Amino acid sequence: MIAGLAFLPALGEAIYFRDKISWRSPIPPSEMVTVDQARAWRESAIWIDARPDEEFARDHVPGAISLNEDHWNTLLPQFLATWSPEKKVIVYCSSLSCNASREVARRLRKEAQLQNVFVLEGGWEEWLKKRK
Amino acid sequence: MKTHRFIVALTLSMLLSAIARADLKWDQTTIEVRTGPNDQMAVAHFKYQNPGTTPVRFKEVKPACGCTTVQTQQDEVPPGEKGEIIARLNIGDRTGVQEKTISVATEDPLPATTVLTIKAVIPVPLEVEPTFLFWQNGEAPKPKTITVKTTKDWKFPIRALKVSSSSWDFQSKVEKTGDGQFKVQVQPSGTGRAMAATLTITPEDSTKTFEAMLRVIAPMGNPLENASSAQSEELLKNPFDGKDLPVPPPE
Repeated sequence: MIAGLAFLPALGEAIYFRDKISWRSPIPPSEMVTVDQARAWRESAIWIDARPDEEFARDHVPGAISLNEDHWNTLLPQFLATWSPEKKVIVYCSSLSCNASREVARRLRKEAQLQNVFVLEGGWEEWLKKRK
Repeated sequence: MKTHRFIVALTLSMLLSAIARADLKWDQTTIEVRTGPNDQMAVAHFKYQNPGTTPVRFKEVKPACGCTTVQTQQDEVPPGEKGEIIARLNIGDRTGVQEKTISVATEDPLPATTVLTIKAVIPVPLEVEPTFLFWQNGEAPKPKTITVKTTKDWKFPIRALKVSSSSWDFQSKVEKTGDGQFKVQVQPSGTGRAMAATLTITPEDSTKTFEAMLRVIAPMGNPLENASSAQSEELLKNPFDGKDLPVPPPE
């Protein structure tokens, strides 16, 4: 019983803080897509890489377009030139803990008022795992 | 009796180890940074102290985003010593409130990881919505509207907006709708072919410019539709970039 009491404060913190970590803030399921789902969309999908330029240059999903917030104003026109309304836009960044893809997706929905914009669950790390 | 003593001893040792464990004490784990209009970085200093009796070693200090860099002063923090981790967020073209996290793992089981958050508040002087207007091939070329509003980050009243398009294919008209509020109506000359332009919006008496993209989307098979991003850029290139638009010839 005493041992159990000793764990109560830790249990309380785990419950109280479970949603307080910003990179774990929930995204609506309708805005998330898995690698398998995204792949099934084939040519009707446009892939957007929200990572910094150096990471994109090192490697990226084949055919992906770089669009990050470091150079939003110069990269956005290039993306918009290839977008069309019937396309599904998939945005990814490095991993589950990265929120750059969420920010890019949010700006595309709010500022450019695009529909069918999704965030890739697990990001680049997940895509690499599934690539093998 | 022996079992009872064993349980008490085990519990006491767990409690004592919890008290004596090495653990960093942070002044703040979330720091808000308000940036100025010309700042390129948001910088936060996360200060810590080791109040324990054993050294604490940093196992990993990892930002969640490539846009944030971190600098640690030491790999190991002796008992009683203080230090700080400096986080720098590259502002780039970011706007509004940006929250970026850094995971700090120490060689200490309870807690193993602390999450630091840098919350940058980047001023947004003008809200332009939307920043992209498009018409589909064959759609009626009716005017569409962009709303422009000043925010509290814009320090003086705007009486007028100057709006110019990089292409004669799109015409624009500005209407003031309230204090610091405007409607910009944009209309393409037609929707039978692919067209693209940049609309530049400049508040009166200011050198700051804001842009919106305009497009008539090509039918499938059109060069603009299927172009690579480099080719699209060429197709979108404004021949009058930085110069006054020519006066159209008389009809």
